[in-house]
Amino acid sequence: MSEPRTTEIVHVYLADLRAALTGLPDDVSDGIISAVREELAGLSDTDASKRIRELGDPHFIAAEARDQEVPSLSALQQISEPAPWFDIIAALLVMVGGVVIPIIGAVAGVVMVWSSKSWTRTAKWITTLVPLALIALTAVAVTALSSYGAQSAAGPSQEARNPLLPVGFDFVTIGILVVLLAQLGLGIWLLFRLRRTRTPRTHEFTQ
Amino acid sequence: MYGWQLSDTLINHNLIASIGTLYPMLTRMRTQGLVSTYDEASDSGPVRKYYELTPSGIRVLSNFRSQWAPFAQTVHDIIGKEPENV
Repeated sequence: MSEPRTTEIVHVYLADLRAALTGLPDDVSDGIISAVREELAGLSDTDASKRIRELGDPHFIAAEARDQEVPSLSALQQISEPAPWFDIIAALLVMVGGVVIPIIGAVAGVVMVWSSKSWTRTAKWITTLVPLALIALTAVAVTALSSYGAQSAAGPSQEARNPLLPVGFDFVTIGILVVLLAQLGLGIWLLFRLRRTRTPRTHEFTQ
Repeated sequence: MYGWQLSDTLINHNLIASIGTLYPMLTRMRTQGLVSTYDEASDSGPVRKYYELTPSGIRVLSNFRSQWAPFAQTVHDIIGKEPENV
């Protein structure tokens, strides 16, 4: 069966509606858009315009849908709870744990971040992958430099090493410093995100 | 009934303001297992999503019906008349 013809006015209205419904749960916004699309499909411009007038402004529909959304219990708990010490310690361990107890301190911080519900999955992945990516970059740089050094030493010219060029050891040192700085930045970023997600917003639910 | 029919009926009875009011409720009812959906092609072409009560939804509706009349009567008894001494 071929799809019913959809007029330009319907396309524009559905696009406006989809944009207005942004932020609502997918099943709610998809349900509204599907119902409207079903009803408008196959109508002439005149009939579609009449239906669209009956439906009203997409922003009004979206506002009504938002008013009906009940915040989940977990969201309410998260809003009302103060920032727990567990999360603060996790962020501090990410920040300076690697300095206090090399490697283990930072790993413990990342494990604690993953076991907390205060950060999004994206934030947890960033916290985990950024230091690993920096370590990988350092390893690649050291390997490449070692390989280059070995080739130079084996070459016929036996030229003296340029003292201005970093050697593998320098790269390891720089890499460690960069990772520690990144850990510091990530810890501060986690604390800011923690503060933002824990800021009381009770006025939204007291109306 | 399909979504638009439900919305149209409720709007015409002034029970909801727009289709936007309906779908969060339908989603909650579906999550609670009170309604289920099925697709059916319409005469005019598009496949529509129809909503129907589940056995659990029918029980909840029956329970609500039995409570509604006494509840409405109680509300009417309390606020249905203007106070005489005003």
